[in-house]
Amino acid sequence: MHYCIKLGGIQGEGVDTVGELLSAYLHARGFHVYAYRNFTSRIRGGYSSHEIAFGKEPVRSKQANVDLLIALDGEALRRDRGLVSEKGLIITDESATEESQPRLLSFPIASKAKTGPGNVYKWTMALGVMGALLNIPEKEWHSVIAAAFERKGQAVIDTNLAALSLGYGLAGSSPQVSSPVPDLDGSQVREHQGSRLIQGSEAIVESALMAGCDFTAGYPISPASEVFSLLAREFKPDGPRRAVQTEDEISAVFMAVGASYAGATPLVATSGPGLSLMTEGIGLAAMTRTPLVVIDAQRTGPSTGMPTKHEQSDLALALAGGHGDAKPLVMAPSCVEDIFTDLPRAFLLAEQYRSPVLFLTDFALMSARTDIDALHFSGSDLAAARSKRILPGVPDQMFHSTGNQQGADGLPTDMPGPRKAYMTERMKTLSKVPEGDNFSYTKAGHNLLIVALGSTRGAVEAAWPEIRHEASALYLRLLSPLPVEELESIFASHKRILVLDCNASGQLLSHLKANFSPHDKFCSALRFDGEPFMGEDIIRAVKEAMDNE
Amino acid sequence: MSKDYDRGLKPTWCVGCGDFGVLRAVEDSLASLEIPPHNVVAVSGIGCSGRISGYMNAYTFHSAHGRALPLAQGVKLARPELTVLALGGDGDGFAIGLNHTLQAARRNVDITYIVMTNNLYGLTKGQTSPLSPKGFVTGSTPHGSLDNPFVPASLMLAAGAGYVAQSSSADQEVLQGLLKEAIAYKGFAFVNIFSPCVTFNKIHTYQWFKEHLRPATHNSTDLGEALSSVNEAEGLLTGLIYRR
Ligand SMILES: Cc1ncc(C[n+]2csc(CCOP(=O)(O)OP(=O)(O)O)c2C)c(N)n1
Ligand code: SF4
Ligand SMILES: [Mg+2]
Repeated sequence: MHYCIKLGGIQGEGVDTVGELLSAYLHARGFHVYAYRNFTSRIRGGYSSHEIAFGKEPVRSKQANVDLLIALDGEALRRDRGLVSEKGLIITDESATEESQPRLLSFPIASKAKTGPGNVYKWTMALGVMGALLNIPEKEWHSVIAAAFERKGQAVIDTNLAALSLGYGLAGSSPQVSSPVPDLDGSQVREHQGSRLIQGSEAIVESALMAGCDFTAGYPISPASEVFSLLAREFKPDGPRRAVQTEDEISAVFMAVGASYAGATPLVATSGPGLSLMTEGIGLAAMTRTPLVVIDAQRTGPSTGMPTKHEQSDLALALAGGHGDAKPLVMAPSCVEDIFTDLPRAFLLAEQYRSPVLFLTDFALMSARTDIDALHFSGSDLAAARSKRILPGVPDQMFHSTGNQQGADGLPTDMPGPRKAYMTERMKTLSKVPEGDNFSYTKAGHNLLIVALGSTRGAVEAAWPEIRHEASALYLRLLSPLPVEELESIFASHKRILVLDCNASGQLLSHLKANFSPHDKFCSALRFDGEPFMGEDIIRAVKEAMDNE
Repeated sequence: MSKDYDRGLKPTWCVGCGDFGVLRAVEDSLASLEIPPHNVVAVSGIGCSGRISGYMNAYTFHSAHGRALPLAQGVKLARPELTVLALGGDGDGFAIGLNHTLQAARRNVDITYIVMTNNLYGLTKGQTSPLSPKGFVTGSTPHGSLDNPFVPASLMLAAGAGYVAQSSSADQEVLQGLLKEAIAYKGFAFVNIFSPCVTFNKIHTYQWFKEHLRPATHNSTDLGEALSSVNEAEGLLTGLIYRR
C-alpha cells in the first residue's frame, strides 16, 4: 500500500523546498519514499509540482492517484484535482477557489503569509495546515526544518518555524477530517540506520568519485547539469582545474578524451541534444581506443523536445555512438543502487576495452529522490587496468594516436588490409560480453517475460504483486555488447516477451529483435508523453499481452 | 638535437608546401629548449596541416577537424608537467573550431597554439577559408568569395590571448625565436604562421607574402597599440604582436 501527497503551485515559490521537508520527515519516520519533481523549463512562474509517494514497502515510481493534494493556486488545482482519489483530500488556498466541500478545504494561506512572514513562507504555512489536519504533532517538524535550513542560519529556521505555527493555527479551527493517509500517525514505521534519501545525479557523483574520477568537462543541460555542479563542488580550487564548463558539448567531450589519454579519469554528463554533439568525440575515442565514460541523462526528444520531461529515446543513437561503427559499450543502471556498482564498472570496462562507454540514465532516475540502504562498496582495479596503457611522459615509448584509420604502427593508412585487420579486431573485442551484472532478473511467472530499462524498473516493481503469477522481469544493464547467450535461455523459458519502451518507436524492442528470434514472441508497450511508466501501465500491458496470446 | 623530435617519416605534403618549414621550426625549437620528446604532447586537427603531428617524435594525437584545442587543454589540465602543443590549419582554427579558439584564449590554459595559415582548405582541395580575402576564387567560390576575412591576430587579442605572434614559415630565424618564446610562455600562446599552399593558392605565394608582410614595430606590451597596428596592416605583420 502506497500513498501519494502532491504539492502543486507556481514554480520558484517553495514547492520543492517544502516537498523536500516532507520527504525528509516521511523518511525519518521510516517510510520508503519516492519524490518526483515536475517542472517547466523556466525559472519562475509556471506550474510545478512535487509528488511524494511513500509507504511501508519500497517505492520507486510515480503513483497514478493522489491521496492528498495541496494546490495553492488555481492552475495547480485545475490540473491535479482529477488525480485525487475518492477518499482523498484537497488543501487549497482561498485565492484558488470559492468552493468548499468536506474533502476540499480552503484556507487564507497566501493572504496571511503576505501580512505575516512574507509570501515566500506560504508553502511552509501550507505544510503546517497539512500537519494539523493529519494530526502530526507540530514539534516533529522542528528537527527537519533545522536540518534543512542549517546553512541559511538561525533566522531562516525561526521564521520557518513561525510560519509553520501559523499554518497549524489556520487549520486548528477547521472541523476534523478523516486522514487520507492513515498510516501517517506519528509512529515509527521501521528502524533504518544508514538509510538515506538520494537522487540519481547524486549517486553518479558519489560513485564516480569512489571510482577515482578526477576531471569533468561539461555544458549545462537538464537533467544532467547537477552532475557537473556537484563534481565541481568536490574538486577543490587549488592546483590545476578539474572541472571546466566548456563552450559546448563538443569541447567537453574532446577535453575528456585528452584528459583520459593523459591518464586522468574524466566523466562527462549530458542529455540528448548534448549527446548529438558529443558523437564526434565518442567516435574519436572509439577510433583511437581511448577510454571514455559519457553519461546521457535521457529526456524527451528529438531536438529540444520537452527538456524537463522523461523519456528513454536515445538508445538507438547510443548503440551506434556516431557514424561509422563507433559502437561504444552501452550500459543502463536500473535503479540508484545499480549506479554504485555500474558506474565504477563503466570506468573499468572503458579501460579494459579501450572504448567509450555510454551510460544511459533517464530523467526520473536522475531527479527523483528516494531512500537507499547503506551500501557496501568494493574497490575496482582501475589502476591495474590502466597500468597496461602507455601514458605520455614515458621515455622511449612515444606513439601516434589518430582518428584516421591507423595501421599496426599507429600511423594513418588507407590500405584495405590494415583497415580490415583493425576493424575485425575492434569488433571482436567489443563483442566480448564481460562477466558481471549485465542484467537483473526477477524470476516468477513463466508466461511472460518483461524486459525494461532504467527507472521503468520502479513501475514494474509497483505492479509486481498483481503480475508476478504471470510474469518474470528482466532489467537490462548492459545493452552493448548484449549478453545474448545468457539471455537466450531466459527468453526461451517464457512464452512471450513484453518489452517496455519509454519512447515512440520501440527502440529497445528493435534492439532485441535484431538479436533474438522468433520475432512473434515479442510484444511491446510504449509510453512517450513525457511521463514515466507507472504501475497501472504495466498491469494493463501485461493483461493485454496475455489476452492477445 | 632536432632529429630526436623527428619520426623519420617522409611527409605526404606537396613539394614546396609551407608546412615543411613549420615542422622543422617546431622540432628545432623543442630541441633548443631541451624539452625531452617524451614530455611533449602535440595535438593536431584535420587538414594538410593536421598531418604535422604524425611526423613528430613525441606523444602525438591527430584529433578531429577543429577540435585540437579542447583535446590539448584536456591533456594539459590532466598533466600540467607536460609541454602541450596544439596545431592546425586556418580552417581548423577559424572556421569549424573558431569557438574553441576564442574560448581557449580566454581560458588561458598553458598551451601553445600553432596555426598554419594558407588562406584556404588544402586537404579538401582548395575551398575558401574564413581567412580568404573577398573576391577569392576557389572551387567552392567560383564567382569569388563574398565574405569578409577574419584577421586572426586581432580576434585573438580581443579574446584575451596573452601571447600573440606571427611569422612566415619561410623565415626560420624569426619563426623559431617566436616559437621558443611561445612554448616557454606561461599561459595560452598563439603563433600564426603564414604557410603557403603551393598547389591551390596561386595568389598567396611565398613571393606574395614576402612583398606584403612587414615586421611589427609597435610596443608589443601595449594591447591598444597591438590591436590598432594589426588592424591597420590587415593582419600582415610578423614578429611579436603582443605579450602580457
Ligand atoms: C566535421 C568535418 N567536416 C569536414 C571535414 C573535411 N575537412 C577535412 S580538412 C578540412 C579543411 C582543412 O582546411 P584547413 O584547416 O585550413 O587545413 P589545411 O588543409 O589548409 O592545412 C575539411 C573541411 C572533416 N574532416 N570533418
Ligand atoms: S595541398 Fe597545399 S596545403 Fe596541402 S600539402 Fe599541398 S601545398 Fe600543402
Ligand atoms: Mg588552410
